[in-house]
Amino acid sequence: MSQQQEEQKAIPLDKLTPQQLLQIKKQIEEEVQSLSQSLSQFRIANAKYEESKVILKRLDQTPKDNDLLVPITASLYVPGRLINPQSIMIDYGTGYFVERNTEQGSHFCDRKLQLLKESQDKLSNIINQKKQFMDKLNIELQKRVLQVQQIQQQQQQQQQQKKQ
Amino acid sequence: MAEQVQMLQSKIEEESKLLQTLQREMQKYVEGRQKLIEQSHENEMVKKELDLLEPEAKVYKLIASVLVSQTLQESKENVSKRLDFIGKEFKKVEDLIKENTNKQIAKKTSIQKMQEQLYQIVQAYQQSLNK
Repeated sequence: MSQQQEEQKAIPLDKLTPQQLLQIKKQIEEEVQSLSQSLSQFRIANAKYEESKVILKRLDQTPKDNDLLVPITASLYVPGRLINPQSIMIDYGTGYFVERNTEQGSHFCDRKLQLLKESQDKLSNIINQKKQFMDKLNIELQKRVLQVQQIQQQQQQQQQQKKQ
Repeated sequence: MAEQVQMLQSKIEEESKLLQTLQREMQKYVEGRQKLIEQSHENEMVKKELDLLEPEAKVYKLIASVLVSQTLQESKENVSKRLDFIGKEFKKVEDLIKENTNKQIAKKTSIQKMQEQLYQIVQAYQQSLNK
């Protein structure tokens, strides 16, 4: 994709026909939209990890042997007791789970948040680049419209002169 | 002349259908490649996290609906093997994609040639009529 972009930048914009410019503009608009959607998904993931950290802190403060209700199914809960508020199970991905304590869990969330932030920054940069390119396209399109208007005006003037 | 035209037209149709099959194949390859990239990312992340663990850490693997206890060593080896496997599959798909692209280019050139031939025959015939 970036190769295509470079090719388009290498061809000076004023050599392209207005239809081609419109085509490219549409393409880039679609790309920006789908990238923005991915960006909002990133934000959702961010919120989830932050929430997990808050819950872990709360777990720390929960006393041992606290009464609780354990969900067995979506509508069935069973009374239970919190035996070890420090031990949590973390889903690492690809089917691996690790038993850790709340502090390590919080560090895990921090690392994930760091990864998310890096990816989000990269994505924002790409989106900005594409938006800048779109601005250039729009300027070029406006030039063309002005050119056409000028030619039309000239033609009208010539016709008027002929009549005289 | 009419025979030639018919022959060329049916050949062009044949080749176009083959081209379409190639394009559908290509789509599948590209989707598969995308999945492999996702899997490789996930496995790399797990590998990094496992590397941060101390040797006594309790690791479990989800097999069906059961969490089975694993040693850290086993899990690390397993994830490395998976990454190797994904790498090999990725190479295979990339080779298939290359092959497919070349085949598509060849088909397109042959279709173009036949269309040019057809055009020339029709032109020649029209000119002979005009005389």
